[in-house]
Amino acid sequence: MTAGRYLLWVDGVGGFLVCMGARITIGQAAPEGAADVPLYADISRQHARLVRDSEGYVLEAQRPVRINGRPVDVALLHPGDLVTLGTSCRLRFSQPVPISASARLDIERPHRLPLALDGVLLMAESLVLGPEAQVHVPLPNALHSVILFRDKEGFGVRYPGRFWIDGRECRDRGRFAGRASVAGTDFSLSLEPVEGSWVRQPQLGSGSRPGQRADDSGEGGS
Amino acid sequence: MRFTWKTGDRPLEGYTIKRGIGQGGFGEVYYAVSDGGKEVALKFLRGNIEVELRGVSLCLNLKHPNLVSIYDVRTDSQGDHWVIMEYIVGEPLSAVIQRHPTGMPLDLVRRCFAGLAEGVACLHEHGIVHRDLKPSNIFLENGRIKVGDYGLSKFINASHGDAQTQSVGTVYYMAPEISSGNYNKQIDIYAAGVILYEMLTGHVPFDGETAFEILMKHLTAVPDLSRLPADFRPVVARALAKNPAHRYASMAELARAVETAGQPATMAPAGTAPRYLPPTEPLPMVLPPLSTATQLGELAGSLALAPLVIAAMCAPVAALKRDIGQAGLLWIGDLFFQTLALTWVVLAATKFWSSRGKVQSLSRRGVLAALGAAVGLGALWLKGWTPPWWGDLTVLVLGGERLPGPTISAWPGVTTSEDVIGRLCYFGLGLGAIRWWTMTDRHRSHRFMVMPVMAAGFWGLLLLLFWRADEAMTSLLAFVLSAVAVQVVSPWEPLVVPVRRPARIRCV
Repeated sequence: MTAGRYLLWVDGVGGFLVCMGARITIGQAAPEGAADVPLYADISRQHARLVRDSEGYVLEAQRPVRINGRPVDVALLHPGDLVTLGTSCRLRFSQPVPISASARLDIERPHRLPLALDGVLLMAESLVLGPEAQVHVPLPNALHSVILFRDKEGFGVRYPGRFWIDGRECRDRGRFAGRASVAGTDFSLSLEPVEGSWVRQPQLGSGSRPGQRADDSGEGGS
Repeated sequence: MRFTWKTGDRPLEGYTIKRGIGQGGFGEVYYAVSDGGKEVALKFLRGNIEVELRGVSLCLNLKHPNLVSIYDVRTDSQGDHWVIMEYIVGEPLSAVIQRHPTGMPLDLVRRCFAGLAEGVACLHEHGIVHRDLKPSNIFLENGRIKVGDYGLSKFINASHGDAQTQSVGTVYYMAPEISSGNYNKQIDIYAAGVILYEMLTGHVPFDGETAFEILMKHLTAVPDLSRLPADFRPVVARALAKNPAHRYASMAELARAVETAGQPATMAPAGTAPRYLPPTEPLPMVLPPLSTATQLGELAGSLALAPLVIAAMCAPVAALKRDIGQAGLLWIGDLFFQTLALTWVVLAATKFWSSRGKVQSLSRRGVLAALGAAVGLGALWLKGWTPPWWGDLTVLVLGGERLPGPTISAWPGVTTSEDVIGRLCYFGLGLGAIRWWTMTDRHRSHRFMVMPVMAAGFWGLLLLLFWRADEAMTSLLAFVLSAVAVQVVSPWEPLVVPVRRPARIRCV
């Protein structure tokens, strides 16, 4: 059973924080902060909890939270709901794939995660990445959808046809533990675990430590 | 999209790659994080690109809120170069335009354009021409425009450059004078005009199937201003003037015009805002016309070269015919002369047209058809057939003896009137059916095009319906050979197209 958090990097598309747990915390990013979703925002270090149960996603406020402008303590979230933490940090909740319990949180600019990530994916059983409209992550140039699902070892991948996991050829289906690069002829993505605290003190001069860091929102470069 | 590096790679000391962002003409761009935690965009330039790097080094220390900052240029252990740039958390202007298929809201257009103009003006003030302004190089980050990808544009001024390697995305924004190789910051003003048009309407002003077609529209077509809000029409028209001297003199001037366009204040005192350029003004020719002497010299050269080329093509045909007896030799001769006649006629006629501006396609076809019939007549004459009025004509012209037609007994006689009419129709329609002038066009897309040769073969076959004789096959072959010969001997001068170094991707 996989737990914890991962960074999903999709080439040409964006980066996402993937939370596996059924109960996650949202709070301010800080060196000693322990929030699952750390935000650069004027909010508390433990501002709210989001719990996935059989009903759906329930938001439990620990500090002032509004949903669509209305202050709440505990509330069931509906797709499209706008959650405001504190005075100005806004998150949009959505469940883009109706048959999947997985959800997505988009953080409105200028607030962001510590790395340039485009959103937070709350992964239930699976995530759908593909060219269609109803997906968790769009893959505009792919021919088919890529399904990422939980597997007893770690993750499984379903994709019709040939693809490669860390250079190992797979057909239709493959699996990997926590960290891997997955590429087809029309897409490429990587998954890496988030290790330790989010905002680590810079390790100046310590040299190469790939995949240590975590996340944030956006798109760009030139 | 395949990227050379993947998450966790550290090709450049001190930076960890997170993901690929995109690929462009120069290489690949990655999102990476430094060991200290700074987010950057890394541009991977593979191989020896000293010239491009010189451009970047000029821009390294430019500072402007509307320019994507360049932090540094580094070389990795493999000798590949990396440009370290500011990472933009935002979206390219192309995505914003795409979201507004019928044009962006006017205030957003004004805001974006003002930022774009300020960034580009900063480059111009430092003597740098961007040369590759386009919406995918311009970003919107928290409401602020950031112009990127400057300093890297390097136009290889290729007189032999071909439009094929040019990505269409760049051609949309390319000023007409770029084809002459002689340009300055005015090309950025033109590109900004195209972007303004695109922001206002959701479409580029000049679109087409091929890069070549789009380039030709930049050179000659008038933009359709009717899709623009009325106040912006004179502004865009002036920014898109074919002649750089007719455009706005600076980005700042264009920005002022955009800012005031459509604001109530501009309904304004006549005379303050420069009113410019009715689009009815004749478009300045960008391609200089050739002198008559040059044209005649070229024609003479082409005509003289044609027999050699045709002889060279007939030789292998002869070799294919095994029993090269007298009949065979005569057949080759027949083929040679027919091909030569067709080639000369086409060369002379099309050269004449090329010096006269626009000639209707229909009248071209008519003239070619008449000339074709004349060639057919000539071929008949060579074979010893004379029209019934030939004797009278010679009497009339020469005033003396009736001249007999040449009689070469060895030529198979051609007698039936059906045969005569068939032959005349064959040559006449054959020349009239095909657009021969595209094959001699000095700015044709390729020196040698296969399609017209196939068209010649197709029409030759089709016209066999009119004229069924064994000799028709010779004429069919003559059509195909002349389609080749005409192209080989006609001068070719491609429009100068800037070519970017194609991205080479390392396989890992």
